[in-house]
Amino acid sequence: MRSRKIISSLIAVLLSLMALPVICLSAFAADDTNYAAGYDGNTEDCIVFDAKDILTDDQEEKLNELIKEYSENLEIYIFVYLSDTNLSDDETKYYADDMYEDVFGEDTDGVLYYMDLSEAYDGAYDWISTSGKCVLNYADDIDTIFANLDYYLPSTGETIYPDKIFDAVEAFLGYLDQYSDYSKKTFGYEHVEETGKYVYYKNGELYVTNQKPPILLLELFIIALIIGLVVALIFYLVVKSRYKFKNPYGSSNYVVRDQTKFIEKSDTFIRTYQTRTKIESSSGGSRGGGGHHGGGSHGGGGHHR
Amino acid sequence: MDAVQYKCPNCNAELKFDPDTQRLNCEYCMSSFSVEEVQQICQEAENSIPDQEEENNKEEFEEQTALYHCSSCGAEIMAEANQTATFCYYCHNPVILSGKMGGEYKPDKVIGFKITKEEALIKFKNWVAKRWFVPKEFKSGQQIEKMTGLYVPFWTADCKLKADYQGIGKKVRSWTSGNYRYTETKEFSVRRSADITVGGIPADGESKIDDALMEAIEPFDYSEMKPFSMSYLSGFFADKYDVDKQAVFPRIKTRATSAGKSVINSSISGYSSVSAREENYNILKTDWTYAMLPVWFMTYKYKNKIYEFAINGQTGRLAGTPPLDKGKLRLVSLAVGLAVTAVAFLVGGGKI
Repeated sequence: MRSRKIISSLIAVLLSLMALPVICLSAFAADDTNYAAGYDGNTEDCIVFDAKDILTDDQEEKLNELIKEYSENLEIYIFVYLSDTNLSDDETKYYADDMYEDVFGEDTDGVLYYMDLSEAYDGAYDWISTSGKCVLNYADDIDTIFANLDYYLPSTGETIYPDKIFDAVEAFLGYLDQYSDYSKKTFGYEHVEETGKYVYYKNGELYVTNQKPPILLLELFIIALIIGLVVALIFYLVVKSRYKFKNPYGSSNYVVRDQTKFIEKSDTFIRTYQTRTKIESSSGGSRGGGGHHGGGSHGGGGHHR
Repeated sequence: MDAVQYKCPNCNAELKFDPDTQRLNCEYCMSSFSVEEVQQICQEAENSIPDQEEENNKEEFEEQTALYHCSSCGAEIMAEANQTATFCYYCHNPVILSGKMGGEYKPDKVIGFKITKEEALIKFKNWVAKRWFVPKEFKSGQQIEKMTGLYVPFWTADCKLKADYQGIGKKVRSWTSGNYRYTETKEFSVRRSADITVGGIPADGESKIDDALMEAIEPFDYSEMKPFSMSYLSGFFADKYDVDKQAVFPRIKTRATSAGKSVINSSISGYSSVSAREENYNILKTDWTYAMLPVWFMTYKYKNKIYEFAINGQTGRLAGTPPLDKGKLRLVSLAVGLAVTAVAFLVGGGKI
């Protein structure tokens, strides 16, 4: 009889545990529209736009060919913009994201490289805007790509050489190939804070959607379960402690105060000494984020030269 | 051995001590007498505690037998070795075994019951009601009725201590300047010496009663302590001590030392840390009192384990460990955990 009660209680608990994620998942039945627009293979607009007019015609033609070639191989749109306009950091981000959407549309698979050649006194600021599957694939590699490109690109105030710019764009295309990371297909996801959308793969298909990825829900559930178990344990221990003996009456209560007197009560200074320790300072890096005025979801990052 | 019973001078029924009124009452003719009046009226009973010579003569016999004659019905009943007051199992009248309270076993003082059985039951029920995880059989009326009023033999000690303390006190100050953190430490020699008096530390003199349980129902209000009279025992159980003052002295010493330490420690202040180098607490003198103090007892058996509860018969303070239905607690804890999991999941999901 008792063992039957225990078994039925255990079954009830297990069923509750199994029902919990289903119940909670239904609460997250947000808009599940998939906004991913993919890549249609049209490389007509995959070019280098030389607003600075620093490249020769030959160089520009060669780069356009290369860009189209990489675009077809990687199945992503690629656009390189050589800017002659000085913008603030935020303006650069918005400009790059908006330009990408103007050329290739929202949430398509592609990359736009904004190279700041404005020679502004307050420093050059480059930006790589990613869209679609590129948000996921290059999420962890933007800084590395920029660091590698610094070899080719001039710092603020240095002379800009056309050959160096050509080499930089060519190298950039190579890095796109080198860092196209498809291992994120299984568990990775990116959350675009500005639009609130998530970018992830599910069953081999790319999703750009408001619905949270399964792995994130699982992470949430595990964290919530741990919190719940900790609270359950604290509750159990607190209640159990109430079923133990209370502290006995303190012995100090039996002191007869008016019959207690101090014969000696002295605090004599002996010595003083001082120590010091050095405070270690630390410096941190910074990283850019994404954001623009359009409706698409972008990733990427910026870099000061 | 003859037992003593206090008879009503009006109708000859048994008188019982009433905690509410602190008087002895007759349940038949409703007469009521103060302890002093009974002492005068029932002089024979009061004087039935034998002197030392009689006690010596009877000692051997009494150690070998524990029989008493009930003067109401004449029954011969066996009593436990330490019992000094009980009830006749046949006619249920209260009896006092005065022969066992001679010589060294005669109490000096007594505090009469102030909490009636009904009040004790109410306190116990209220206390249990706050504990949701006791087994429901525990709360049954039948179980709760098994409550016994017992005068427990206590030793109370008044101790004079000499306390000597030597230690090092440190005052620490820190500040930041530039790239450095500075710490300044000042050391002081702390010396204390005091004559400390602790009064009325109780220790129960009965081996079968849990010492911790008796400590948990302290304190007793000694201002209500009266010179011992057997009339207080009528209607209750009572035991004589089987743990003498030498045996309880280590407990008294520990508590007196603890009290002394609290006096010394409370006189040291203003330091970031204090470490004692040498401290001594010597008990110079101990004055003992042997007193009968009132306690309501209840025992409960659950899953082959005995649970004891005690209520201070003067103040109503309750102590004991209730049985815990662990299965019920586990289920409720799990339910709480699941509820928190659901809330945390919903809240966490909403934030991301």
